[in-house]
Amino acid sequence: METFELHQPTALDEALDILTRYRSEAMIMAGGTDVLIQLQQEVKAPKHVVLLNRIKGLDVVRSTEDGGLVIGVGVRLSDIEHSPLIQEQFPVLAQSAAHVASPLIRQTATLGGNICLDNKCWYYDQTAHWKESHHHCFKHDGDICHVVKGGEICYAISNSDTATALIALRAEIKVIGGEGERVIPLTELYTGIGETPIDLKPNEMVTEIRVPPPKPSTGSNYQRLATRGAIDFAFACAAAVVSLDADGERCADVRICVNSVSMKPVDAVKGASLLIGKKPTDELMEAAAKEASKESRPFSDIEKLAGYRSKMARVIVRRALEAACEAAA
Amino acid sequence: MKGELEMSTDYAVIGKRLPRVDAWEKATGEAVYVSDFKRPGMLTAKVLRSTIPHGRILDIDTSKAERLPGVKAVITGKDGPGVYFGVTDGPIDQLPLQPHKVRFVGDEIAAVAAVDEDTALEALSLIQADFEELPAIFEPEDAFSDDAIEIHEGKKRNVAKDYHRQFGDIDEVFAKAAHVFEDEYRTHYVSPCPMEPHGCVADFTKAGRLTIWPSTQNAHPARERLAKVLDLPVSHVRVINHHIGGAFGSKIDIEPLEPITALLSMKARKPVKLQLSREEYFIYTRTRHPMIINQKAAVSKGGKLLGRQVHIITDNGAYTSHGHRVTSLAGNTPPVLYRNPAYKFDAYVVYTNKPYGGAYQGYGNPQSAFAQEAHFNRICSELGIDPVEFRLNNCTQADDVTVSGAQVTSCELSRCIEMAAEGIEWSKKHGHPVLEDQKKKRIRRGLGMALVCHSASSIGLHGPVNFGEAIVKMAEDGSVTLFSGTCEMGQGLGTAICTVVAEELGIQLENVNLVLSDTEITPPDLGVYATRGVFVSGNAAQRAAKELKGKLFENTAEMLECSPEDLECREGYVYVRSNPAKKTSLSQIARDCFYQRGASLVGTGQYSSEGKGLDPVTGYGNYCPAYIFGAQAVEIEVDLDTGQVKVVKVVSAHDVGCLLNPIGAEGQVEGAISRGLGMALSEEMVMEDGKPLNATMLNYRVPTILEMPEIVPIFIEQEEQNGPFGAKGIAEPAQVPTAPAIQDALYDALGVRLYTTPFTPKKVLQAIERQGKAQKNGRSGNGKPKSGSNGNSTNGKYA
Repeated sequence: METFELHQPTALDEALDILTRYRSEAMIMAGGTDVLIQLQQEVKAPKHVVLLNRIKGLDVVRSTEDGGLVIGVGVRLSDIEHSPLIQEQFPVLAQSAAHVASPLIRQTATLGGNICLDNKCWYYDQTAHWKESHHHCFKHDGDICHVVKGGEICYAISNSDTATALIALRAEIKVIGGEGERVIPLTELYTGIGETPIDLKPNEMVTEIRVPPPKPSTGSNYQRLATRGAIDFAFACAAAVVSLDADGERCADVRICVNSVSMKPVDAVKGASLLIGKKPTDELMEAAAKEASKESRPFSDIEKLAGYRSKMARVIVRRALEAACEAAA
Repeated sequence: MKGELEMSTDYAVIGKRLPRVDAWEKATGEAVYVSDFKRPGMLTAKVLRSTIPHGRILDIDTSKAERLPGVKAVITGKDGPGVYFGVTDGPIDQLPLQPHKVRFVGDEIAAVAAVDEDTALEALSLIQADFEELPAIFEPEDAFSDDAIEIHEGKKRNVAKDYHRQFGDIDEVFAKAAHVFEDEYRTHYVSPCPMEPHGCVADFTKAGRLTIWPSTQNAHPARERLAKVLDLPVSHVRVINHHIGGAFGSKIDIEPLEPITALLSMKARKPVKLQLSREEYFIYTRTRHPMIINQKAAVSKGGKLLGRQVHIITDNGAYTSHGHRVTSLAGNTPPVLYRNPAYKFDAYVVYTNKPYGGAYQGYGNPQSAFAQEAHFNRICSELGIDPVEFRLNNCTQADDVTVSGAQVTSCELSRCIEMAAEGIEWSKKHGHPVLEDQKKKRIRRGLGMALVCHSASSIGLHGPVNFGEAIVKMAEDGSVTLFSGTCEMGQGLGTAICTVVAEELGIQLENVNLVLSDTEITPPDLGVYATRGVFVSGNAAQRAAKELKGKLFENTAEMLECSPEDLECREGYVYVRSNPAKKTSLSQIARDCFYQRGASLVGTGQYSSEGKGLDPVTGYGNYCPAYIFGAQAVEIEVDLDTGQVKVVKVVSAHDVGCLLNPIGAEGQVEGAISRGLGMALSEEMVMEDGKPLNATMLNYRVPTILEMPEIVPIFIEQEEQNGPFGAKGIAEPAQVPTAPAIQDALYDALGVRLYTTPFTPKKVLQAIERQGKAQKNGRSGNGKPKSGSNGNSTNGKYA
């Protein structure tokens, strides 16, 4: 592991100062469950690490007057998973948090860290020692992609479970630093570029996640497929939030997000639109799932074929929709 | 647990659910492993390895590394005596450090000992190694061709060793059989993956004595081999084992790591520690050998096995290690598990430029059993015979002498099959894949069964005998200390052999202290492998306890003025059998012997199995003094949309002889099944150009507790005449039938057969879809090749 200077600011201003001073040489660490491994493996070698754990107020979940949520980036995933408020009002978020890695990791990992998770790749996420016998890839300032042979861009995969749920919940994030404070839809955090998947300037950081209040008759659900029941990143995951109309028959609002099949979490607008104003029949849900899978643009790599990924995306979107509709009714 | 007791049940210690003897120190963290161990002034070692799969070493320049402050020793292949090492009767093809040639990504070429890890790593980066790259061969079929480049000079077609055995009139049997079947199966790279990666501390003193603390399953043979490789007198080498954090066969032998650590210590004249990281463990230590196995069976009209032909190509990797013996066992086992009047076995162990295989729980048996059991299950569906009935009809029975010369003693295989079938509700559920529960309409259920025969110790790994010795000595409080040269690697052997001693002497388990594997202290024992611990070391321990008991009785007889034959030991006392009121405590006897009588209370015991092992030419003979048999039935659920397989229940029945400790035996079965599940469903070392891509616990997917099914271990106790208190052993068997039982359950659920491990969701889904298409096209979509009759062997080469 390369040596670095550790900073533990006690206020956001102080953190921003450090980020502004060191810019791309600095890296933010919250729970550290992913960043520490990157440091140990020398996947990243920042000169400065900014630890957020001493900044007060980042680990708070609060309800807004209209029934929405404001969640600090330092809130532990296990707290999200076990919060009665979130379980009741935003079950899809609690479900997604409960699927991250393992119980031990969720005790330390934060929501902010999970939504800012770097894209993963079997070649990139290796030690410097392992990489010695390989050419450097795009994400490592090289000029090839190992997982997609002949690929002309970086195909590192986006894997945040909670981002998938939060996008389906229409969450927004507050970003500070840079040219000042801004609130943007969470979808805008993701570039879809494997090398640099998180669209933050070096002197910017996310401080909170804002979830709007649930609409009446809303059901939500999160589904993922992975080899094992714990530890693994998903090989396809999806979240669905369905709100029914006053009669409880037709879909008034539908939001679908698909992740872990391409370079960013995909807000599957077209798939969702097929259901709006309609009764969620088996046929329509299948059509919506198919469309959502198409929108997520799965690709073939050394581990899985595009065809398999796209089928799996369809299967889990369908399952998430079914469960969300059932919960809404 | 359903136990069927047929043996004496009035044991005081045996068969009781007692906690393991090392539970306390392990639970509190007091147990010391290599990575915890420090010596004063100890240096840290790191190894430089080849980054290319095949090439000649042109030059290694270590001068810069040597000049780096803090570096105390740098060695290359030019250091040391250059003695090759390997396993007994195979090619002796390995050196601690390669001087001339590298054969896989990971071959050791230089090593550094420095004051700390950072300095050692920096020193490695200063070593300049120049190679001339050679074409590399990654597939055994490519290596096994006349024009292939030789990975080891003089090894034509890259064959490290080949086997050709034939028993019975194979040609006639196949010519006359009503049915002949043929299939090809392939198994993949899996890793033993113990919790503790390999590590070692070596301390070479100025007086020229080497003490080494490795993580080894076989301390005494390790000393012999190390002394040879280092060109030291055996008496100058002492091997001491700490606690071992799992091994599963992977620590059966010395690897380059131990001699490298020793050479560094010899050069630096300071203690040196070399601890592999998880990544180094995955890439550079030994795996299970992938095999390509062709199975051919001749079967009568009524479903009787008449003859079999097995052809194996073993992917050896860069070095042989145990490749030849693993392959040999893969060929030895089939005729012992089933009655076959004729059996033919041909095998080639072939070098490739990849990480090399070694010993791993089952030792060739998991590969062989997968092919064999899958083949038989296909034959059953072809002929319309129930797989349970087929097995009952063909399996080995007690006292059989097999066509290959194996002498079976105890064998409760038929009862294992019946009980496994009953436990999984075979007659009710097999052949009924559709679940009644409507919610589960996308789920299909499947049942499968497979058998296992495994050796209870083996003859021939270190020579024709199978030896172990033990010493038991009594202290003044009536407790004893057992000295055994065997190893505790987490499997519970320490508890098992202490149980034998406690039972023999009529004392409590906690009154047996245990001293294991220190070559200067413990008597020789060949160690733990081949499920031999209970059998060999247990026998030696029992005999040592018996000898001590004899001495106790002699002294007590004089003290109590009675005949030694009229005495018995129980509850810490020696009683006069005919008059139990007359007794004396063991502590009283011990004190009397030491301080009044001057009499020894030390017993020694030896065990060496009889028999000559296999004939080196024909392969005929008995390779083991007892065979452990078992049957395993599984119930799975398959998700038709995703191809994911969930194992719901495993019923695992084994004829263990005598059950020494139920908790330990259950743990062995559960652990072995988890490894079997891994091989079947999720564990796979993904190789690219000879290098594992997933050398992490994140992507090398060992099952977690969430993947574990309900496990019902069944132990059928039938005394084994050669075992201690009639015990055989239970270390390895349960892994072996797991993958083939799941493969068979997939057929029951879906009507498709997979011929390669592992059964990933992708592969299962493809099979489901292929079957769907076949059905649409009006063909039989059950994956069955056309039925075979004589002269037209059928071939199931797909999936």
